[in-house]
Formats: sequence, C-alpha cells, structure tokens
Amino acid sequence: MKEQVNIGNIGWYLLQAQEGNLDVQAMDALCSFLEQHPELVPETEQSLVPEMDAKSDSEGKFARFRKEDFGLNAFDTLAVSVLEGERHENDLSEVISKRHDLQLQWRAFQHTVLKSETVSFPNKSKLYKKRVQVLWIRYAAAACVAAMLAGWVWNNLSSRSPEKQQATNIDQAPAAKNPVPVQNDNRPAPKIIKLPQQNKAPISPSQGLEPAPNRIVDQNTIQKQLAEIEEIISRNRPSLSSILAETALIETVTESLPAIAPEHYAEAESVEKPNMLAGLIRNVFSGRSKSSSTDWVDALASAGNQSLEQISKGRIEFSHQPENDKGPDTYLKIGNFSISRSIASN
Amino acid sequence: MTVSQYNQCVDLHADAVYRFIVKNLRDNDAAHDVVQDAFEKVWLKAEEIQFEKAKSYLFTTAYRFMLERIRKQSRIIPLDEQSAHRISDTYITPEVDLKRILDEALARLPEIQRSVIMLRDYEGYSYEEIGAITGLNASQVKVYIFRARVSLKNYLVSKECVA
Repeated sequence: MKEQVNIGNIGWYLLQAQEGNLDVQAMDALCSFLEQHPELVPETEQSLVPEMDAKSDSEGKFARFRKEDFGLNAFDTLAVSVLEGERHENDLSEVISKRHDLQLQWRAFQHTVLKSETVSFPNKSKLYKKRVQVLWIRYAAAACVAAMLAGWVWNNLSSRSPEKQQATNIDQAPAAKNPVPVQNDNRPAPKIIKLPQQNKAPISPSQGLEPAPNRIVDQNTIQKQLAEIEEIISRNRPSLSSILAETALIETVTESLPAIAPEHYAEAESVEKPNMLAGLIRNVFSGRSKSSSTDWVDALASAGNQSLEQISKGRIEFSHQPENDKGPDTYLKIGNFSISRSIASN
Repeated sequence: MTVSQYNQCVDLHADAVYRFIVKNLRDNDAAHDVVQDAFEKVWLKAEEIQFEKAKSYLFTTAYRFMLERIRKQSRIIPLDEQSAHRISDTYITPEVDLKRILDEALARLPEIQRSVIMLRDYEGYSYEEIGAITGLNASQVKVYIFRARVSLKNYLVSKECVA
C-alpha cells in the first residue's frame, strides 16, 4: 500500500523518520510529499533532518531536501554554546557523529578560540612612575629659578631708575623716617636727638641760615665720610664737634637738616650752649664719660630748652650705652648712615 | 591607587593591553601610543581608581583611545561575510599556517567583533565585563561573540586549513 502522506500526518511521518521507524516506501512517500510542499522543509531542517539523515535516509534520498547549509544555523548556535561553556560537548557529539561536514565545521570552530600568546610591550619602562616627591623637588627647583629671574629683572629695573642710578636722595630715604637700630637688635632703641649746629654758622660758604633745597647727596661720598670719621675717632678720639668740623660731613648735615626737619633746624639755631654739647660728645668718645643716653637727651634738652618729644623728632641720632657688658657702645647716626664705636675695646 | 600599585598595574597589564590593541590596530606604533595614553590617563586618575578595578579601567580607556584612532585612520577592512560563508569540500592542508590564517580572519572581523572575542579569549572576561568595557550589554556581547566565531570558522573552512 502506497503510503499516504498529507498535511495532516506529516508531523507523524517526520517523527517516525527521526526515530528511524520508516521503511523505504514510507521514506519515499515522505520525500515525495516534501517535494510538493517545500515550505515545510525549513521546519524539518531545524528539528528532524539530522536524525532522519542519520537513521532513515540511508540512501541519501532525504538529503535532496537539505539546503547546502542545512542545519548550519542551528549547528552554529550549538557549537558556539559549547565553546562558550553553556552546553556540554556531548550535546554536540550526538549531532556531528555521523555528519562529516559538521565535524569539519566543529573542528573549524575549535580553532576560533584564540590561544593565549605572549606579546610584550616594548617600552614598559617608560610607563613606570616614580615617587611624587620627585615632582615636588622639580617644582621647587623651578620656583627657585623663577624667583632668581624675578630678582634679576627687578634689580635691572631698579638700576634703570634715574634717582637710584645717579644718587641717593637723603630727604626721601624711607629709613630716615623709620630709623633702623644699628648693629645690635638687643640694644634698646636709641633716643633721637637733634644735633645743634656748631657756632650757629655752617662751615660751608655756600650755606647760610636759609634752608637748603633738597640736595642729592652721593651715597659713596657719605660712606667715605663716615669711614673717615670713624678712623679719626679711633685714632685721636677728639670731640665730635671737631670731627664734624674737620670733615665734609658737617656740610652734609647742615645742608640736609633744614630740608629734613626745618622746624628742628630753626630750633637748633636757638641752642644757647653748644659748648656743653661738645663737651659731652668729647667725653663719650674719649671714654671718660659714663653718662647714659638719657643724660645726653636731658643735657641737650636743657641746652636748647626743648622738650624730649620735640628732640625725638630729629633725624640725627646719638646713642650711648654705658651699661653694656661688652663695654659702652656709642654710635652716631645721620639719616641712613651710622658710625659706632666700642669704647671698652679701646 | 598608590604609585607602587600603579607600577604593579604596569607589570601586570601592560602586555595584555598592548596585545589587545596591537591585534586590533595591526600597527605597532599606533598601539604603542594608545597604550601609553591609556596608562597616562590611569596615572592621572590614580587617586580615584581602585587597584582591583584598574585592569578594567585600563582596557576601557585603551579601547576608547583605539576607537578614536580607528575613526581617524579608517583602516579596518570589514569581513566579507558572503565569501566567508562558502564551505569548501577540500579541507586537509596541514602545511597551512593556521595561526596566520586565523590572524587574517581576526583582522577581517569588524572592530567590535574582534574586540569582544579577544577580550573573551585572551583576558577571560565575562559578557558583563566585556559590555562594561565596550559599552554594550551582555546580550549584545554574546551576539557579537557568536558572529565573530562563526565568521572565523567560515574563514578557516574557506581557506581549507581545517583537517
């Protein structure tokens, strides 16, 4: 009896074919039906044909309905699942055991798993980093260099200033307004007194009682004069008045004083007893006096009938410290410049 | 991440990142630059990166730098899927340098497929980890890996180098 395969029993026939229960006649009938209904082939490819092919299609008749890549999508999915560890390899073995083409596909799949290979990065040493402190040292060095450059530029700019380049203006010297303690910071701040003018008359013929205009005094000149004064003091210990008279410094003082403190200059003109001052100065520089700086101020104040407050506004400082362990120090400061003398050391 | 941990990171991962990049770019100089840039970025972010996550961050960064370079150069040759699906009936050619052909096949893969399969096979990353590096979700990664393996397989079969 010729097998009757139809749309109603095609499922049964396919199942039997998968199970290997169809004889040759039934297989022919199934193949004939599938030839007439090719739309059913894809379904069979997915589910039944591998088993049918292996068990029932011994003559290869059913293979006519396979596409060239029959079952490949399903096989690929299964194979990749096995490679990815999602399915067991036994699941695949059953499928490929009797399919030479799928065995080939499976071997190819197995080669798609990339084998670990050693590739060395050639410049790994450049990737290493050192301690961060090294960077800070670099930053610090860079900052030092920058500071040095800034200082150099500042010095250059300062040296180009006409006032600084040519001379020092005593009248505008900032330290004159805020006298700097001389030599030893531990010493008490010197009291500021105003030195009366010698004999009420300036030595310089160019001077008079009229206040001189702001005069630019060369700094080197003053330094030279101060050095000269100190040398004379150490050698002869004369009176300060004679020192001032012997040197050109008196000219500087008498020229500068009216401009620095004109009111004190006027007051100095009224001092009645310059000899008393000269005697005190001489005694101090000669080491015979043990007077304190307060005595000096008091003496000057009484000589000029001026209050201490008034005297302290002067720009000429004269300080004496007889109680110092190292010996009494005496110094004279005019404007920014000072001379000092240690009496005990002589 | 401390300085010593960063240096340890260099020891542990520099070669792997370089392999990943150079296999993708097939250009030693370019790969060198990408790796250096990636490590430089890691170094700049060292205070924010935990040592345990440094490898992932490194691969992610390197991958992005690599994409930038690829976009600039446009040098990648896409795999000819049509030809790759051809199945040959003659297989056995033991002389064929399988590795070389596999490298060829790898080079022909689209960049994303090549990247995911290398991250999977070389580094052993999970789908989720690969997704974090490449900006994909796990399902997409799985699909790309599937396509990559099928493409590689088809290329190997087409070159008749599978016995």
